[in-house]
Amino acid sequence: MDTTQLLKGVLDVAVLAVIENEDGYGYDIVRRLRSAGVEDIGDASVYGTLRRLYTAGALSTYVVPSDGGPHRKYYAINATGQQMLNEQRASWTAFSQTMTTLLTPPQSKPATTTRGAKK
Amino acid sequence: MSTAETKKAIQDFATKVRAALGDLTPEEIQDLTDGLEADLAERAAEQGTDFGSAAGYANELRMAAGLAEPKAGERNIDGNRPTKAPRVSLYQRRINWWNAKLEQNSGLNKTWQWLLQFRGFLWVLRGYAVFLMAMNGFGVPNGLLPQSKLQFALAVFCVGCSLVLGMKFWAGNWFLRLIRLGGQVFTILAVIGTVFGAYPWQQNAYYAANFNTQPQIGLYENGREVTNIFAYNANGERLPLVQLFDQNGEPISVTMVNVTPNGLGYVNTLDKGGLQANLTTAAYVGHTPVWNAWPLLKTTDSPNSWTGKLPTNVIEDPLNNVPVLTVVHGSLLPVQAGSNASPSPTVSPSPSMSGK
Repeated sequence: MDTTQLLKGVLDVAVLAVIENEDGYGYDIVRRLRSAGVEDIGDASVYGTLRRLYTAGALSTYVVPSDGGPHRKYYAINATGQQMLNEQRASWTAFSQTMTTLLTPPQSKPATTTRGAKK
Repeated sequence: MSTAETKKAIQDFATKVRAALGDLTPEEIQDLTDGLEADLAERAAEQGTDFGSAAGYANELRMAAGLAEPKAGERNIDGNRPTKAPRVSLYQRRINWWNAKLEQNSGLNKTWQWLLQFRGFLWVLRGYAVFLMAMNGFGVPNGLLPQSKLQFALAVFCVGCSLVLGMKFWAGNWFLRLIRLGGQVFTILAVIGTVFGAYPWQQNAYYAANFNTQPQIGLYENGREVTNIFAYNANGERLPLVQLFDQNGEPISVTMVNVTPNGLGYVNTLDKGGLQANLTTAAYVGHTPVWNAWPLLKTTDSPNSWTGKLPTNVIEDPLNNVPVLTVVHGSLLPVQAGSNASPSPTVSPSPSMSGK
């Protein structure tokens, strides 16, 4: 399965989740995602997502000067972002449970399971 | 790879990414790539400077940000597959190039951001400068403020046009951008012209003014040429054949003096019938003719260059045209504005006769 296509749909909530408790800058957020196991993700996809979430009002930003290097743009989740995260977290939990149930190999109904798996 | 090489690789890649995003507005590019260099530097520290395709990176960036797709190019998510960059107009590329340069220079960037805060005010100034230029260019006497309802309306119109010119919707298509570019060029020329007076008609006036300030040959009073002088004493009695000198002791002459080899002078003029004539002197000291003796006589012949004899064919004695006795009242003389005092000539030159 092409996990990159799956990631596209959940990248928003993933990004919100990794900065829920701590603000972060672009590459720092990429690193957190990879540390969490989301490895097949491009840097630019994360940066673009951050920009879209910021435009949607879910994030606030601030710039921190770097010692001897270019400045870093930090992202922080705000109330709107927190509400968005909560809603998407609930949706994901419900969806993942549905999918888990759906994809769990049946013990007694092989025929039904096969049709369900093709959906 | 050295630090300098790494830094250059980062800068090059960031510049290419911004160029590949060239179809977006400068604000969008700024939003998308703000902090890009810092992120790339950190990635370079961990993974090296092989950032892949800049166009692919830019494409991934815009797609993730939910911005418009490029007209041409492949989609990818990892940013490492080569992607054809979208078509970018020359105008937009120029803007992007300047934006990239601005971002690389933090001092310039801060100054630019600071100036941007006042752009509305600058647009108003620009419109008003065009209004002043129009008033000046059409020769309408005008100060810094409108002096009629029509001028006020024109000023409002110019300022309004300037504000519209500064609005963002002009970036919509090439035709609107072309109009705006023309407006910008016209405005710059108008402002320069208003400030420095660089218009051709003003230059002509400038040169004419300079020309008029050049030293004039001859004698002028209030811009009017003086061709003959009549002297009277304080009692109002006419003085024939008077030598006149200026404040430096130089003999007073009139314009277009022709001088013979003998030192005799005469002035070309016309008689009553419009024929050529001369104004010359009839004064002698002993047998030597004296040029600087006023008034001059109008003759039809010139002084004899060989014999030194003065013309004899007098056709008009100027003394016949002026009163024998006259007194000039102060009220008839030019008076400086704001002065209540009557003019009272006080200069009494005392030239030393040089035997001329």
